[in-house]
Amino acid sequence: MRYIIYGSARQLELCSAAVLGLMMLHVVADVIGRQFFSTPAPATTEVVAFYYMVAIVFLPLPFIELRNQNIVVDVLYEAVPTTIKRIFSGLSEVVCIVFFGLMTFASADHAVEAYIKGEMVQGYYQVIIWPSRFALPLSFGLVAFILVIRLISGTLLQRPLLASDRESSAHNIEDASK
Amino acid sequence: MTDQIQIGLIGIAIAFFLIIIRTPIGVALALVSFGGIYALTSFKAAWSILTIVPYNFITDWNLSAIPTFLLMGYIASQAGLTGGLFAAMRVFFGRVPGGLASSTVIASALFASASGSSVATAAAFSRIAVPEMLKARYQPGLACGSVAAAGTLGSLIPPSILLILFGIFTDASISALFIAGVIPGILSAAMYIAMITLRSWADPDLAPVSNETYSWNEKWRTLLDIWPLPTLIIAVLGGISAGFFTPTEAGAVGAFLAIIIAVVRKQMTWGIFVRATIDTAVGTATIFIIAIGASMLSSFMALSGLPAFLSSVLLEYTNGPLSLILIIGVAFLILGMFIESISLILLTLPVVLPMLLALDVNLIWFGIIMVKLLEIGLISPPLGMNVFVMKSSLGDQIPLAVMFKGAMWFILVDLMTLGLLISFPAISLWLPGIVQ
Repeated sequence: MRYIIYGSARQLELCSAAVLGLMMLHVVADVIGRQFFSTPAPATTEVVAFYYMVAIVFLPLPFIELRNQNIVVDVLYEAVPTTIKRIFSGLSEVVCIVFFGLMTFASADHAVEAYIKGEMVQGYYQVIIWPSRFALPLSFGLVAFILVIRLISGTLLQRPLLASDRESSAHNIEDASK
Repeated sequence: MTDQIQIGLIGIAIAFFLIIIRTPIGVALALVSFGGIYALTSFKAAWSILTIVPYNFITDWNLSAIPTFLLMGYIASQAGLTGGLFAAMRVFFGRVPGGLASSTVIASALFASASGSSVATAAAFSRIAVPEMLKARYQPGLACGSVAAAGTLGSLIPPSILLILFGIFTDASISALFIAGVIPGILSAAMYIAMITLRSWADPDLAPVSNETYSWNEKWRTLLDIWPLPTLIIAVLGGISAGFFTPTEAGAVGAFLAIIIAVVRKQMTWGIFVRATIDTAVGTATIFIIAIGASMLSSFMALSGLPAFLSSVLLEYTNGPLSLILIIGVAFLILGMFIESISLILLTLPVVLPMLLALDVNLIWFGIIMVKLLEIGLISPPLGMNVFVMKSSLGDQIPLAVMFKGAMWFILVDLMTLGLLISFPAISLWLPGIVQ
């Protein structure tokens, strides 16, 4: 179970990183092509907006959740006793589950609708965009799943199946600043 | 006060409650907006915001500047293009009174503008520069203050993620914002350096003058070592001003250039590239989750009429943008003590922007002032984030109180700079005026 969760979250994150590299190359190719050969790379703005950006923003979410790298305000939380900490984190986990649960359904709903319509954008080029909509329910769903497991195993049963690993996220920030 | 406005206020209160119990900021904003819109209109309207906003907000070509600039920063710092900055500045300024502190200011301003993060800069330089200054028998307060404060310069000196976000949310021109930040950024650094030099000159115990000497040969060598960062910044800004690429494309070009420079200097490995892209993707996603929440909050706020109400109340007491800026300034200084700057700008713009538009404030000018205010919050007691980061990377060597006391001098100077920026809008607006 742990393997499946960590593995799939990791794959999504790597996928998002690869797309980022691709986006950089695509935009640079577009600039060079336009300035030197007056042939811009085709459909750059559409592909960047509707595919690259969607992948970069949504696919890393499950891994961010696993590593607790979301931006949160710690000031009050750090100052209260352990029991209240538990209540706070339980409460905020429930809030997050509600949110990501809602988001999973809302975005899945929309993705299916877009698929049926065969959604595309019509600019200089015609680009099919519905497939990228499926990235949202995929990521949101996995985040919601992770949160449910963490709430049950960690906060309620006090036997965390998924490490909440705050140490490693602090470590990453330090590494990044070197 | 109408019911709608009350719902708006209750929504804000709930959002704050959720945020302080450690709910991720983006989730808190989005969920409150969903509930608020449901209460104001109908479930159907609220549901459609939930389905439409995340995808439509993200699929904006202009937003691609954020991941690419972040990538440029991560590559520059992880491939070691930022290494040697402090050592180089020291060679040039070491013998001026307070020279090591001034070197820190310049080096971390460059580092921060490339890495895009004040906090990361403070963390890095507390380990690079503070020990060196302590070894040279600098007063700990000065040593820490200069590191904490100098990190904040990065958000004015382009490329700045804060300014990109401000431009996107307010529809102000990002290239104008970038160019507008240059002189205020340099001015802030110059004010810091003037203060450090004057204080150290008046009180030599504060920062004993060093007697290290370097030959011209050594000076040239260190310059050779640090060329990548100024080159990157100039290439990015130059390319934008010359119309060679747009600010949106500049990030990708900058990141690509950073990779090429790192490869030329044999500092690039596949591992570094993979780590930089992963860190960038994670950084982008964490920022955008908040941005999505803020964008939903904007819809909720607009429906509730709260911003219009607030501005009408404020307008009764004030007669111009100046008092509005003062009020926003105080609010930012307080909020900035415990919320980091990107979240804070996203959190407050939905409420502040309608007021600015009502008063017809110049958004470029205000963007620069807003960023300056945010950054002052990062070093203000009791909760300045940069100071805490420094504390955690330095450990028990220096007490927190000493750090904040050292930072106070820089806050004073910042307030003077802020006064200048407010009284003379030309400092921010002159350069964009002639470039465009």
